[in-house]
Amino acid sequence: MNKTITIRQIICAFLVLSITLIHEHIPKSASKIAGSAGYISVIVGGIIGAFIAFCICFLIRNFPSKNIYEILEILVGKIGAKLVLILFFFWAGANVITVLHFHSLISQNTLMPFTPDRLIFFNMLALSAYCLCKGIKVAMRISELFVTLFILNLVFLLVVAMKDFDFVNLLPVSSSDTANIIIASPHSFSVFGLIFLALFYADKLEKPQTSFKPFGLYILVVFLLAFFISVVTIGTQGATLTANYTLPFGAVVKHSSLSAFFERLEVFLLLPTFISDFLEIVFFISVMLLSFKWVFNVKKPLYFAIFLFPAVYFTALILENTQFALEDFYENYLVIINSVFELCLPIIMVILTLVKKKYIAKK
Amino acid sequence: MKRLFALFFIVCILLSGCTSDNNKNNIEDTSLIRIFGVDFKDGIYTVTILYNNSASSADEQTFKSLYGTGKSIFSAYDNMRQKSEQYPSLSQIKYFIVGKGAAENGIKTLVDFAVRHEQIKTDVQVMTTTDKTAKELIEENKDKDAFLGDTLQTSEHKEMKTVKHIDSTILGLQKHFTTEKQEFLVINLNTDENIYIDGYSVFSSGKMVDTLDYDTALGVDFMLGNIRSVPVYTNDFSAIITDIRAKKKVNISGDKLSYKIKTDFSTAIREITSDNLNGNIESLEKAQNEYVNSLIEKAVLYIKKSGYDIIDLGTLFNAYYPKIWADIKDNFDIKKVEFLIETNSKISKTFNLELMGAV
Repeated sequence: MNKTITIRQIICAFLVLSITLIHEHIPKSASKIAGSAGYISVIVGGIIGAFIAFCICFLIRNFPSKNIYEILEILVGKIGAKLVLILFFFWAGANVITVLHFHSLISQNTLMPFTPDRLIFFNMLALSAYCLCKGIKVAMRISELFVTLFILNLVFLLVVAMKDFDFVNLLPVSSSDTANIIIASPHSFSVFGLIFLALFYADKLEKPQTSFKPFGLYILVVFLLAFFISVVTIGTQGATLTANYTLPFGAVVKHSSLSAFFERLEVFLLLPTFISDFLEIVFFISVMLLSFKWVFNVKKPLYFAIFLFPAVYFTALILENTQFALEDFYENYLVIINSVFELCLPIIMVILTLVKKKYIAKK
Repeated sequence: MKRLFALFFIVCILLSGCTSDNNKNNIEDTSLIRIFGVDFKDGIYTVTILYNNSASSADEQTFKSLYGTGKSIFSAYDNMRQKSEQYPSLSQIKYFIVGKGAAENGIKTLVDFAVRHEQIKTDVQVMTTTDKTAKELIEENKDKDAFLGDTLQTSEHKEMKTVKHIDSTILGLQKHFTTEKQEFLVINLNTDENIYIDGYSVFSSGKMVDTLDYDTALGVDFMLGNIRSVPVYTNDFSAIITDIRAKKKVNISGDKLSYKIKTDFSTAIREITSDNLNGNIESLEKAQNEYVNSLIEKAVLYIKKSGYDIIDLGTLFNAYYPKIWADIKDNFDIKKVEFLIETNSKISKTFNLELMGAV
């Protein structure tokens, strides 16, 4: 199979893997922190997300056909680059385990109430391992296949879910909410900023991407979906319920005008969610493998995967905790760490690029 | 080929793991619950279900009822499940019927049970029955030609011609439980001879405290801007009000709280029963406004008398005056709120006869 990838494939992949985060975490976290003004935090997140996309575009333009390791090597030296990648390895690991737990939680709350965590973890990791054996391009092509269908599906669900939308639920919004809106915004831009991981695959790009358009389009689509899903979810069930539901948009879909015709209408939401979870796990494990490859100069990191998959599986089992502890970890710790990796790191890289402009030009 | 065998082997192992989940039920072993009744008496819940008998043929579908008792709704449901010859599935529930005892004891536990169950949809309507228990209603109707579920659905559809939406769904009720006073309305069924929707039950702190007759219920719906179309009966003519546009506005100035509802509507004349009008459209419009005002006044009178915030004014004040509301919400008394009502009718159609007087 041709190893090169296109920017379209990367954008499609990140669009699909963001779907779970868009409808599961953004409305919930936003309304938990900012109440009925939570949906405004998505706008702030969107602006920051656009800035992150601009940073990525800037880096790709200045370092054509170079991956994140090669860029970091030029900017901070070999040791610095390896240190950052070690941090990336653990960050991606934390994300994989969190996604596995959330996937298991959603599966058990909806379609598989009696299926134990271990079986769900095993199945998901086995599928991810199989996909990665075939190469990351397979995951991207799966995304390319599904992305339009999933977006149209979400738009359809948004329309049918508006049955009991009440504008009053989106109020009150006042200047006193500003602080909460800003505090809630990392929950949005940490999702939009996942596109930063595209730098891991930048060296495989068919043509070096210099245009902001595809990244801008990605941010626009993700932002619009997140914004309207947040508005409809909060507007239909109010901020308090949105903050307390495990799957807030799912609850609205279950209440929609079409639910009478389908035994389980929420399946239209759950199937994209499961594929999105799967892709998220595949990409984070791929980030772990690439980090390991570059840090230890390993030529075939897939052999490392033989140890990595059982390690992830058993760590996920050992760290099995309550739903509340999981949500607490995601909302209070992981989102902040994500912000560091997805916002602070690109900014630092852009600043270093500007400072070392002459040196980079020589290189 | 070896890979294919390996994959087949792995799939077999994975699928064998699913048998321990017991997530599978054969359709012929499953009974689809359509109506779920809840009663409460002397600390014991009774859950009665009306389900389709999957053993019956497709042409002659029959329905059976079954009940179970327990100290909670789930334990009563589980007791019923044990007695059932088939596996009861909650995914097809259309209505929750709550008996008077259970309603007076509070429906928070029912809403909680429904929301936590992964199969139950959140748009299932909750209805109360005050004349009979839910068990009596279900058992009396299980053998009738008209399936109770269809009767309730027809009744709901008829009601939807009058109101824009019925807020007695599980999600709608759950939203009310997030408010301070938990005061709301639930559809009430009249079960004397025929079964039909007849006003609302009033809930305070999640418990049923009163019932509203149909006219007062209509007045409340007018106040909520929830009316789609409603008949008007005066001494001189009858009409149908359509195309209703309601504007709600709350205001706080000093200690004075007010709620203004402005309703504009068009009217289609259905019958003219006297010559008193003599083609005078203004007097027709005036008579209609008076009729609608009388309905709204009934609702206002009830709210002022009972003190129950059944029109959810607290949420509106919080939405438009959050800071002031935070200070006054603990001492909020709906009896002190001033209600300003404005109705503007416009006669648009006289139907086949253009004469503005009795023939």
